[in-house]
Amino acid sequence: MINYQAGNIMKDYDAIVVGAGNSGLIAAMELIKKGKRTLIIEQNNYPGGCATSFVRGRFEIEPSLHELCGFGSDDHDGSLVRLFKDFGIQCPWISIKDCFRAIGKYSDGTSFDITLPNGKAKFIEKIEEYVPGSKDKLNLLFSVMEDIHNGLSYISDNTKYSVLHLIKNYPGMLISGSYTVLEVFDALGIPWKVKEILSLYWSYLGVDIEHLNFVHYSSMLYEYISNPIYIPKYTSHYLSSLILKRYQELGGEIWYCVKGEEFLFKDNKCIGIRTNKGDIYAPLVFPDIKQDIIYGKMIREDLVHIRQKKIFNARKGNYSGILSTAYFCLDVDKDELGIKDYSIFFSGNNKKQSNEIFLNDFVIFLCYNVADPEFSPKGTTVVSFTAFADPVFFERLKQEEYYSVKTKMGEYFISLLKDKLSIDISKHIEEVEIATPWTFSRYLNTPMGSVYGHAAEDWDSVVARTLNMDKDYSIPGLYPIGCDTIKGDGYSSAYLAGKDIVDFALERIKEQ
Amino acid sequence: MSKLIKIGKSRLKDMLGFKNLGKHRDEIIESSSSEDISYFDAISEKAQSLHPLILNVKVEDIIPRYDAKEFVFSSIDSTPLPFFKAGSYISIKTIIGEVYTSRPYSICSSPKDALSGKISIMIEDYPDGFVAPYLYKNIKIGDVFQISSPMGTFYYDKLRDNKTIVALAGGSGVTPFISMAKAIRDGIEDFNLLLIYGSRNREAIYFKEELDEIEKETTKVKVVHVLSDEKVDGYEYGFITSDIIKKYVFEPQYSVFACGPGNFYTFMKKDIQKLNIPQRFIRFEMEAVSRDLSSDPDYPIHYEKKEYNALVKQGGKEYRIKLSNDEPILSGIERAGIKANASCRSGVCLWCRTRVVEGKTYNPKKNDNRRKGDVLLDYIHPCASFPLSDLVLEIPESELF
Repeated sequence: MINYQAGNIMKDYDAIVVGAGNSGLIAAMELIKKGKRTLIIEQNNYPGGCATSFVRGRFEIEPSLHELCGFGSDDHDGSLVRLFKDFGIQCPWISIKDCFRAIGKYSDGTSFDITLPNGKAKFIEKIEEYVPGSKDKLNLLFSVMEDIHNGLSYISDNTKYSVLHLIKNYPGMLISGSYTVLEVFDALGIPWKVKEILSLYWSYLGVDIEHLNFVHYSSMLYEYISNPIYIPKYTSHYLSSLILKRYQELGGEIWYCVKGEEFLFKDNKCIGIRTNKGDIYAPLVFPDIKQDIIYGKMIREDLVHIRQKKIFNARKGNYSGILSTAYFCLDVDKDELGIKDYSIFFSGNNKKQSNEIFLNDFVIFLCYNVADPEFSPKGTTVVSFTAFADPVFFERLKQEEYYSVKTKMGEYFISLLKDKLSIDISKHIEEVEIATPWTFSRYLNTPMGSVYGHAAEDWDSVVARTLNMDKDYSIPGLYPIGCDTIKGDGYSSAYLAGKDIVDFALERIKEQ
Repeated sequence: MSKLIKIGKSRLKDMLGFKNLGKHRDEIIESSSSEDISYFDAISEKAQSLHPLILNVKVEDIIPRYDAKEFVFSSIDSTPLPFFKAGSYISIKTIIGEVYTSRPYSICSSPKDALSGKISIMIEDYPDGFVAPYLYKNIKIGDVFQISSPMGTFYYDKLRDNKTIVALAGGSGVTPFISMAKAIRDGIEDFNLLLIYGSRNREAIYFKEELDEIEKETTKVKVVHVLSDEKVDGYEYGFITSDIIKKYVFEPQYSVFACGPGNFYTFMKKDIQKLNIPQRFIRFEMEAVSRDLSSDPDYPIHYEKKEYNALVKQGGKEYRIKLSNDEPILSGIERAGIKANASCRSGVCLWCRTRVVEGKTYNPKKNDNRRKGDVLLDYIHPCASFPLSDLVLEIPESELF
């Protein structure tokens, strides 16, 4: 006997967002704000994609977010603040004091251990302390970066922008925009030691400075150094949930554990998506899915547009952000251990130990309790280590070796902290979880478990992608969003891409 | 300042370069091959084979174990079964009448067996139960089932645990430790297992012969039997206590793992404090949700059995159902015939995470493993949550059905 009344409620949607990742959530917000009846389908049972959290024992762990930029300054709201204000999203923020501490070796073999504060003037002053004579060059670099920063926000605020205005007001952007980071550093005569310090930052973008477009690098570095940086209280799961809450207040819908399988077409237009729970139709579909998966696995071969085939073949499957992360929950206070820094970049580590599993010897260490003393229960600490994983190793690894590889990774990170800072966490581990490219692939369903998707190499930079939007979005009705599209990777970029691509799609429909 | 600099040969060339960024990219793309996209991802294949959503299995063998049965499943998928950490559980799905449901069971076979396509669980004939007695009575050799991938965090971790694990088992709670003992014997795990195992009497000891055999095969596994209803030489008498642990463990550093029924946990959690070992060395397997709210001191109102109305929304469908406050919300949803998403049924795995749109719920502390954000925004795990009023709920679609 079934004692319920059931009914399938048929609904029409103006737009479907496939995937509630950062880009998907903001795209859905923008659609709802523009009055579109919107449905999000999400393969997991929580929003955010990698902007989530997980619970182990008495700990809640932040899996991905290191810091958010885009907050602007006291007198000028940044892009992210404007976006959230516009949407009515309110989140309690935790401020991060220092940019980073970096411990490693210069290429001549000498060691460095530097801590760089947040704020442009303080940052430059501190580098001058470490590398005397670099101040003027850094001021020059910052003036170029400032042009880029302001130029980009001018462009994003004015869809029909004037090139003359750019030349007049933001010449630094036009002059540096077609070059790689290394080319700009060299042309400006940045001292080599400073170059090496600043290039540590490339890890967040996943492309090294010889192949990274300067505008892309600068737009992130400038925000990160010049303006305050934050993390949300209660992990990025709370932030994702708050965005979703606002979306639902405005009438948006989300269905969990509904997985997109194939995009549906009629007359060469995308008209919906086939899912594990049936077909859903809408004239606009925004997949927050990496493009190689969309075009390589989710569209019938004869319907894939030639432009997409060419883009795929030009990019040659170069993915960035193939990572391994170890999370340790410790039953001791950070002060007792002597942890003082929120983030430390370790470079020039012992290659012998790391080479088998990791792509290079670069490790990012984080201690969340430094930013937020209430991050975990009193008398406990949560730390994480992130390194670039060797994809070939994880392609070949056997299941039955997997768990011992995780243990090896954990031991490597523990010994790194012990060797470099004499901090021994090994006697305090209450919970430990180690994520590999397999883990990220499982939860995010991205190519090779890469967190960022396509590397934004110099020729394929965010500026060039934006300029090619008309051609790249070649399938009517189908608008991929996410961190491998026009803004590149990172939380803020993914958020902003979600909004901008929705606006682009709606504008295009209006024109037609 | 930026008005004075150039990067390339001239400022004009620099600016032209910027102007041509799009053109340059477009040229590279247009000159690329228009061959079909050949997408293959070995890492994703590996991740899928380690964590497939559903395993299709058939009953290969049924081994009687006192008042329970061990069911040996073999894979009927083209791929072998995933390797797992000893101590993991699977969720087995079943349809009883019009109720679509599932139950979690610890795996009692060795991870090694999974590589040859076999996996075992033990199901007790639990007379007050709903699913267990049904499965116990009805499963026949050759029956086909769908089970989840191995899940859970109740396993030995070299980075975290001491090299000696004192395993405390109450009755059928021995199953994860059977898997661990076999994994040690098979050379998959490397730690010392001191199993202190409480049963009513000798007859009620599950896996007695297997344990005897493993003790002979490896010095890393030791078993101490504790009988509550029978005084026999060579066996401890009474209940498992911290005194018995102290009597048999010689290593100065050890971790305690415990698995058993609810009253066993209540007693052990208290008694274990006498051992004075840090919290990080004590791990309890997931605890079943108690339905007896009348004796729960945290229950916010006077308890009387009551029925509430609920509107349940699931992926565009809406159901009006009744929920009783003498069982978790998830059970009520399933009883109404709705295919719900669930796995651990103990408030841990998050599979049933649900949004409370309207109404109030009670979430017992000992099973409340929700994220802080979820508590603040009123999301619940309905497997470990009870209605306190009429409710409007948004539940996920079911991945199992």
